[in-house]
Amino acid sequence: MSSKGIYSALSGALAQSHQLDTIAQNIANASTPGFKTDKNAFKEHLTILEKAPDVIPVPRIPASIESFFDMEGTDKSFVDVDATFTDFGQGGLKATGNNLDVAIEGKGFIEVLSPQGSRLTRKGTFSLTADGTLVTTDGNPVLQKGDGPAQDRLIKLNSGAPITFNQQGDIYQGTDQVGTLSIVEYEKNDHLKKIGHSLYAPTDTNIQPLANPQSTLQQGFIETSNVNIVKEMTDMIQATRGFESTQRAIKAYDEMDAKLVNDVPKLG
Amino acid sequence: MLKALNTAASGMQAQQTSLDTIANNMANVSTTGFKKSRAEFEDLLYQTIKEPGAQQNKNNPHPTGVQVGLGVKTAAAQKLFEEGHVMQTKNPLDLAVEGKGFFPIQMANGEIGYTRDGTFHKDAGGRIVDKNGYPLIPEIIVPPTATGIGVEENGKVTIQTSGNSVPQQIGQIQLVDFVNPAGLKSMGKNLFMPTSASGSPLQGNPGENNLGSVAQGQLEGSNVNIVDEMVDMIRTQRNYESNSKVVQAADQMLQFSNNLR
Repeated sequence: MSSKGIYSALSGALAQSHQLDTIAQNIANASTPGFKTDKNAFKEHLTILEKAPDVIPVPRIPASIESFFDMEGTDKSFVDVDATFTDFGQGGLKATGNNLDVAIEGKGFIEVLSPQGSRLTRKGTFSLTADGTLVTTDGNPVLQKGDGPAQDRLIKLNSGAPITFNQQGDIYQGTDQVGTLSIVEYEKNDHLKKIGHSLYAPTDTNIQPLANPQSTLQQGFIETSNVNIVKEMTDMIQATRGFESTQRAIKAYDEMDAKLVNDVPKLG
Repeated sequence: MLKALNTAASGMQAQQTSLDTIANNMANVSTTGFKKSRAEFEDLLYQTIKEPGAQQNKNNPHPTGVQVGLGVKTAAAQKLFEEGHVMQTKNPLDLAVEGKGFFPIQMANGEIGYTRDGTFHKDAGGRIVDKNGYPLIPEIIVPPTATGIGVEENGKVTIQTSGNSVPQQIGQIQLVDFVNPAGLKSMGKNLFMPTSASGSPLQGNPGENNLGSVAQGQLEGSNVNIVDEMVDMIRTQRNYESNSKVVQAADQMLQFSNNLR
């Protein structure tokens, strides 16, 4: 068929359904502590040039309308999901009163030891293991500041004196300092990849964290997700309606083709 | 097929768990020594469609990749051992632990359970038992001649007898603490059992080794705060609703597709 535009419409439909998948993820995690909203970036994919490269936009004689409006394929461009990125904006703080809940105010992350190695998280809902190691709800040990290997930087607490975290991440039990949380803060968080379980992994190990993190810790609070339900709902309406429009376009192309196949031959 | 449907379903399931937890907290708002729970969520794995840093053309790697998350799951139902408020009852065998620690109780099967519920009674033999009839460990037997029972802050149990002005010690209440009380398993009947996550029991006299002290004539109420639970319930219900809207939207999209021909 001559109507290649049907594929542009199809690419639009695929992009909108991808958008809905992302919105569903955001809404499903609206009550996950420390969750950060995902967003999509779309781009247009130019189709290959349909004209010979020697057609330049300067009109020759005789000038035709096409010489002035040289689209170079943009009139039939596809849309493609170019990137998902994470909005690392601060979530709200919710008071829990539990002294093993900490929320980060600022751009920082808490370093934890996952089975795959050192990872970062914003979810500060900690608990203790039987031997007093400070762990996340998944049982990944929380690490303290230091240069040694991650296995040597676990935080051991004992039963007894109440545990306090100060704003810089120093951990006290009673009046004794037992360690300092490893707070990792980057200038930009673009290289962090979500790996599930509320963890982030840096994709580029060459990027060094800031020497003086500005983030502060708040004990007795958890950071709620930064998902904005109103925004997600409007985006969802937009995605469904966008999807509907592309379906209309596909249908229109279909009808055009139907005419071409059924009606045009009858004319002769 | 749209991933959104399953993602939203996982979100609805998570909110159901949250509501179940809230319902249990609210139902136990006046249960002595009850400790509330909280459902905690985390995001599920991500499907990576395009790796960050993949080559886009000869010179330019993609600065960011394309990832779609697949939903949410309940990571833990964490018990919160904040202290509940203390109520005055004036009953001599109502005991509250002020601070950390549990009363050890010997259950019917011989195992030791732990409770914060200090509503004790005497059984027919004068033994101090909890409201299910399980004895407090170590066993304390109140002789029938006693006219009054006193429990001191350090757990010392004394009795008064007629004709004797000096109280006599008949036993010593001990408290037990755990490194990680949140790892205890709820057994119902206000009892907790140790698990591999809670650590082994650390027994001692009240007031020593960071253990709390015992307060006579008082009971610890539950630590459920109805206002908090109500707010959480509203949030849970609305989040559930949002997720159901996503299901509707996904359904609508599929309907559009089906109407194509």
